Amino acid sequence: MKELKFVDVGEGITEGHIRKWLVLDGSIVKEDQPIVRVETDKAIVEVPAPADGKVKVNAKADTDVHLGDTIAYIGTDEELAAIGPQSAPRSASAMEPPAQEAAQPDVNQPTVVPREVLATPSVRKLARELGVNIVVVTGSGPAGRITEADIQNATKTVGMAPASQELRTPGTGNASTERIPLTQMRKAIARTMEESWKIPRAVSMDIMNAMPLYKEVARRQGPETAKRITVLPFIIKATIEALKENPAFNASYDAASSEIVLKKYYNIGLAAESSDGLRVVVIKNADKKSITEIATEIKALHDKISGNRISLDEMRDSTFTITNIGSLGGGYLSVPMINPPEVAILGVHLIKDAPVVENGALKVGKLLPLSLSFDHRVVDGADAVKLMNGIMRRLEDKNFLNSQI
Amino acid sequence: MIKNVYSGSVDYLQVMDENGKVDGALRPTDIGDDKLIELYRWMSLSRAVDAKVISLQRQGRATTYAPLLGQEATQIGTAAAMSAKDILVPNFRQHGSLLFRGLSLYDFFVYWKGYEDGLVSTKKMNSTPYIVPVSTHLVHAVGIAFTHKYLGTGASVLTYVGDGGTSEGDFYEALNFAGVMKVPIVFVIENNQWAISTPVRKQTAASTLAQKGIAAGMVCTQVDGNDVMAVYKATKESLANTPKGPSLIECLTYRLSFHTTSDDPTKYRTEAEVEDWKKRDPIKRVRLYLESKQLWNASKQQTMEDEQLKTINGAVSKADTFKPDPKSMFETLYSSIPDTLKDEETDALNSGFWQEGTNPV
Repeated sequence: MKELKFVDVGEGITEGHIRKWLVLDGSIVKEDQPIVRVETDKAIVEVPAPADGKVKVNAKADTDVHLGDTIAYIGTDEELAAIGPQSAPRSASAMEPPAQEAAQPDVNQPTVVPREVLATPSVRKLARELGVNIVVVTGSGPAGRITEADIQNATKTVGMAPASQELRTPGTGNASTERIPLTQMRKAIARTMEESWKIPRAVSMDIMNAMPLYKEVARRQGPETAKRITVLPFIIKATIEALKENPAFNASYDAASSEIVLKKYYNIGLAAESSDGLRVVVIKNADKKSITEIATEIKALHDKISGNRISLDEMRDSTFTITNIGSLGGGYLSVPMINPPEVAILGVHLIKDAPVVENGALKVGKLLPLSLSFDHRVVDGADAVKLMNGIMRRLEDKNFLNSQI
Repeated sequence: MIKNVYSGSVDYLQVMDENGKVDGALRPTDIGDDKLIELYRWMSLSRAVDAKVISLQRQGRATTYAPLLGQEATQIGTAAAMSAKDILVPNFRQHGSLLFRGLSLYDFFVYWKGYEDGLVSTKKMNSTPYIVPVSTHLVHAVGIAFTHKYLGTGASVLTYVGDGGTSEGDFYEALNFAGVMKVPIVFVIENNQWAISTPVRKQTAASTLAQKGIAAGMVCTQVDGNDVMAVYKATKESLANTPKGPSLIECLTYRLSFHTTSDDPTKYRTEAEVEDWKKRDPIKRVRLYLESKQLWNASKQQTMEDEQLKTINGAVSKADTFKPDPKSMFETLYSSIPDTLKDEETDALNSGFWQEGTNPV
């Protein structure tokens, strides 16, 4: 049996499109008889049978083929019967909906009838740089050839501002700019952020009295700087208690089924900056851990990040995320991006000395601004205020702070 | 005062028309019916070989290839008129000429599999290998002819150029030098009407390509390039005239296929034009003539086709077993290998650059 593979039928051809089978599936063919017409970006070519025999079509009409893909098998009945179904080519257009569905035009989309574009490479390049769809430009040159002026005019008629070359030409730059391709890590962050941006979010902001929290942290510091306690474990504990009262925030939204998925466990994600970008490390079952345990775990996770030893498992399955912007040493108030598919994220900011009024008297206090971005499909502003109040009430309560061993 | 100082003209020659009708007065005396059958077989073989390479190319078993389909009479007619000592300088499409001169089908298929080894034998048959750059070989051909004149070998050179190639500077330089030095050379313009996608009417404002030789002071003829007897006759006469100087023959033919296997002629020419030229097919007219004289029939045709296909497939199978010698790319480039290239060869072989089983196609 012979396998007819798609090869470089021109010079530098890497892919083709099966235009038409010249013989029926199962026909008997002669060696060198043209059996299929394949379109490449250079030409439509007829590909012949490599041997006498029966044809078994593997790449159907109107599918794309790449170098090395098997177009057909030529052999005897027995040989062809032995071929498994697993060898069908994986081609993009083969996976598209059937022609009947595809033929239905989308009435909302203006259809652009594909036509031959006559233009020199430099004109095509200019069109790309200016973001002009060259297919819809009418050429003023000989035989409808599109000129540089036609492209320039096209930007004017549709009121399109010419984009700068730096923005349009990937991988290039000039004396005043430099183009840096995104790292895989940065690309992953970008994808997550794009996903997050799709969430209809609202933000609740508040400022709390951080004096009791400050005092409790100071009290616990002790002489051992190695076991340094920060505000974060307390905030985690207070948040978990508030989440228990407001379970819709320890959840995710399943848009496909329009359901809220409540989580019966408390895995708290913490946004952490690493050398190659933002990562979210997760304190698993944080509700079952003490302040000291959480503090130790945070330290361990941060060490792993800086040593590039963090595992994937330590970065997934969070149910609610906290971003400690204050730990970065600046910023007053921010609007954090929700870590999808979670419902909300809490932003913790820098504690600052500030004038406060206590029992009608002005005093020097400590204030901590908080912000909560939340998925408004799942919860409302009233719920957010309730959650924030629940967190703040506990963090302002000496007894609560003290009780969290 | 005004007086005419020059007036030139170009004659057109046709011996057999598209219906196989022969002008007896013009028929070359050395082409009897047996000889004509021999030329018919050669043209048919060239066409069958051509189809085979294209089929192999589409399966990834041959490299980019420029078909000769439709130009068999021009190639076989010119090659047949040469004597063994004459030198053939082909371009990239003269498969028929090379096969007629003695290139074996095995060597032919080895070459088109991608191995230059297949053309080593061309030296023995007084031919250069295929030369792909357009028209650059014309000045070399003139140089070869000049050498033979100087040495007094009595050999002539025959070289080909396409219609597109006549617009190159090298073409005019070659013609000029040949004319001035009266070198023994015959230039054959294989005017197949298309230089890739440029038609002859856009190639030149001259009414014939043959007249381009007039300015170089040489004998110029235009022939029906699809008439093997006219091509033969004009070439034979031109070669006989080389002691006096060079000649130029424009063969009017047609490229029925694509420029190369990378080209798609449906994008730039009409089916009607191709069909019109198919009526003037060089092989068909000879068959019509032979059949009218009861020298040929369907059964003889079938026998010939079967034999030729068997020979071709045999050569392809043999070429499939060809094992390239990595040294050939160093040692066949020059007639004697320069020291620097020898060093490179040694380094390359010592570094094990050649991977067993590597196939360039």
